[in-house]
Amino acid sequence: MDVAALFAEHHTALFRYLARWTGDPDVAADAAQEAFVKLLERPPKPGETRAWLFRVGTNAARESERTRSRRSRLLEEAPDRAPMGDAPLAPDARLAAGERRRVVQQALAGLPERDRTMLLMREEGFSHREIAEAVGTTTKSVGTMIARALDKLAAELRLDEEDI
Amino acid sequence: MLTLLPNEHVSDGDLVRFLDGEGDPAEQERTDAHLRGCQPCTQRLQSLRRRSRGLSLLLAQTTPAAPEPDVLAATRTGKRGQASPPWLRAAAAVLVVLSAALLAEPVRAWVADLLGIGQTELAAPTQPELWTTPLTPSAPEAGTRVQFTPTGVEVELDIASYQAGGAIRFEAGEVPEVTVQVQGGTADLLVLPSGIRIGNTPESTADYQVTLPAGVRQVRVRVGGGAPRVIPAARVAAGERLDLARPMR
Ligand SMILES: [Zn+2]
Repeated sequence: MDVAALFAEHHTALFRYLARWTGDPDVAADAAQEAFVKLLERPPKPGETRAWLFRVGTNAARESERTRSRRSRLLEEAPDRAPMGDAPLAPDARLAAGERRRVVQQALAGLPERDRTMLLMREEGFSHREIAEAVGTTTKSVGTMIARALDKLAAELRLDEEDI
Repeated sequence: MLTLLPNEHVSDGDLVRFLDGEGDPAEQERTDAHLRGCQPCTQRLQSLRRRSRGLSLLLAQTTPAAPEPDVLAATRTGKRGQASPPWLRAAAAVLVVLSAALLAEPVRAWVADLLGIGQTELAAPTQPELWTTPLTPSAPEAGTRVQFTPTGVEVELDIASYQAGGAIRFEAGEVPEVTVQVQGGTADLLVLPSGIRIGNTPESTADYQVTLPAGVRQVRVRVGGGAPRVIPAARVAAGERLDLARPMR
């Protein structure tokens, strides 16, 4: 197994996905590292490496105590169910980058884990079959669940505005 | 799926499948045909597309940059025990220098883990470009061994200069690694995807044993920036030795 090549191929995307999933780059880095160490120990079948790394990385992130504490903190900071389009929270161009990041993380943290996983895996270009396997549902129901998750985020993140 | 009655709209799930290019061409064609004649479904499709794009854009704008992915080959280092050949059993002082990409925290943690040394030992960069890790100096019985993973059928061995004394020996083996024995002066070792760079000095005296697995067809050795010498696998297997003592003038 060419670890260096696999690392070069998958690490950036895995880290990106985990950073979004956890909202915490440090936790994401640790989880990605753990996934690669496990890859060395128990390599999956060729052709399944990418989905395998994301699954193992997600599990590692989930188990991280830090993820949980951070998530609960983000939820505590969340507004009392902000009214639609509440100006100070909308991630529009006027907000500083840090504030915008916080709003996006907060919205993702507020989703059920399964919805978050599906949206973020879709973002990385996984097929509905791969997404279904990862979250334990049928391929056919993935589209429905993604539509629902997008609707949930739409108001909070002003996804319907042209110029985000 | 998707056997529509004339007045039945496309479900949200099937609209997302259409957006994502899921399903066979027949399914895509059926959805497309319905959309051409149905304003509500077309509007819903546009909404789902806009929300998908909006989310992608926001995520792209708010995700921290990934650490550099392009290292690395080092997998483990350790000290040779009593079974080491005699030439390894003198004082050792070696710096292992890994590349700049290892400054990235997750990569560093990963490497530290694999190297079996504490991350703090790997931590502080001493220069903007490179950082060094002094491994235990002068363990009398030990050489310093660094394993690496060749990323191609050719391995490059780039040696900064000839030395006061010492040699490189090649051998065939299961695990690619370099064992360094420094008797005088200093040397450092940089593991790169293409091979190994040894940062020695003309004053140093050190021996290097390079073990290469069967998959490597040849080693390209350069000393002091001179013309490369190519050593084919057969000569590696035969225990090729290159003298690093300064050539006579
Ligand atoms: Zn319709």
